[in-house]
Amino acid sequence: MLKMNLRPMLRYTLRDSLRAMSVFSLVMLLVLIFIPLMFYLTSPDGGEVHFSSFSMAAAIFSLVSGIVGSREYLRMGIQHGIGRRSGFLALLSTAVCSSLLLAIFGQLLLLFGQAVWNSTEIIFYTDLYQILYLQDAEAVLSLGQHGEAALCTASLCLAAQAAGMFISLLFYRLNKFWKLVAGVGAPILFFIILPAFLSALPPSSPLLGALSALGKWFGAAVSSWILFFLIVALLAMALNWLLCRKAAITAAK
Amino acid sequence: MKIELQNISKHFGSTIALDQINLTLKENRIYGLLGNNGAGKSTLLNIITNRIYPTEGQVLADGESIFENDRALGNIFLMGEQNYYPEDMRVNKAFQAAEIFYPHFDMPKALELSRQFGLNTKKKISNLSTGYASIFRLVLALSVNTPILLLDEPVLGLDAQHRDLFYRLLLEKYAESPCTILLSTHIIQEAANLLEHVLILHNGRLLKDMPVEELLRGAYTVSGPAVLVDQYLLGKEALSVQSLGGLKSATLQQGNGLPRPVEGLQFAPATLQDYFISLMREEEESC
Repeated sequence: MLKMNLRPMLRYTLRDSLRAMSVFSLVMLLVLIFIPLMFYLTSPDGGEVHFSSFSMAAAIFSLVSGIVGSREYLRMGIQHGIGRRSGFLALLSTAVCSSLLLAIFGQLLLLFGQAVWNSTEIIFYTDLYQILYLQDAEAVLSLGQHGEAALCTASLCLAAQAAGMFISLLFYRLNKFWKLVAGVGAPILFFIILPAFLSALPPSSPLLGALSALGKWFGAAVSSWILFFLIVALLAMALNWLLCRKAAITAAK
Repeated sequence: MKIELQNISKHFGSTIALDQINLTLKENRIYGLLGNNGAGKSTLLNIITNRIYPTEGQVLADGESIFENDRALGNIFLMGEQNYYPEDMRVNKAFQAAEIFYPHFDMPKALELSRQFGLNTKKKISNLSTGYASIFRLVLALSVNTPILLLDEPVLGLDAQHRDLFYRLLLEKYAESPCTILLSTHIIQEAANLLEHVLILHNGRLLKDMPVEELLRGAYTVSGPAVLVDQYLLGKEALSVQSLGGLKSATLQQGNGLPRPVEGLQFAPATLQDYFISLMREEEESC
């Protein structure tokens, strides 16, 4: 620990991350104002819209941040005398902080959105947590429910960022041949082979039964959601460390 | 801070980039790291700064391994040929980033050096020409004030005026605040006056590791008509011999100082570049 110099690396990554989050947050605020407004002005009488965008948008933002940030920060670190361990810890800490900040902002946006739009009785601003676990997209959340919703978003964003880092670091370490295999093979596996395989299984198949049980567990309580995505984040981060601990840190081509 | 390389080897597949390198970089000296293309100079610098791991061996800073040792790594700055900064980063932002990482980074000096070199600090690093990309990196190198400074081809793409300015600034910096400088360059003639100690690599092996004065002691070149030079070389071992039409020149190393004049021949002390070229020829002929 004495040989680590985490502070400047953390300062750099947090500052950079906050800058990106500010831009993202501004865009989301504008989306919250203008998209429902457009619908409100053009909506037919009696129409109702449930508008929810933040959680998924934050997850995609986190995924992209993970993809873009990981190599860039490791390079900056090594250029300035910061080893991989400190670099990785800074990445991890920044991912946790940014996920929490995004989650808090998401709840503030939800409060603002519900205050502005729900009274119109046409547009209802809601959240993924509300849709999945409260089954009442029009309800106003209690403080405890806002806390749960924030944890949902935070765990989702953390998992997404860890996954983004994994994709980036994996492609960093693979040679040309395996990059091609992964780049072409992964989409084919996940979007063609796997769905085809699952749809070909008989309804009584144990695998389908297990997947169904997993889905039920996932939807049963918000704690399942949080636990699931935290486990994904933990596993991805463990793999990320294994990928970068002995990596040759080269310049961008 | 002293840097020691112990039994450093680096293999890239079947290619041996470095082969059992043992050397010590002592405090407050200017070292020259010389070698042909592909000799392993950049690989060596990347290992010292932990950008890559060696296949064998270790690098010690004051007795401690440098690998994953931020305390040691923070005292070494490598100005490499490659750019490690984000593509969209501007020069002034890179200076601000350096300020975060290096407590002794001299921002006023960096801005003054940028002015002297004509470097536009508002420009994106990726949009700089080859020469100005080198200037950007050497402005950083001259401003970070780390005890150890590694410069990999610092004058790549620089015009003569800027190269002269760089060498002057480097000497000024060394005089004001002595540090260990390791300068890897192909332009030996220009850098020769700065170097105190030379490390010569060839095909991954360390051929020479000695002070320049000792390296060149007794080294001289003799040139003239081929017949006379051949006569002179009888019984002597030349480091290298070059022919051009009816003229010949040879580099030798013996005794101290220049030999007695011989009619028809010209004698001159061998420069570091002469010596290096001769050494490389000798190595290639023996391979």
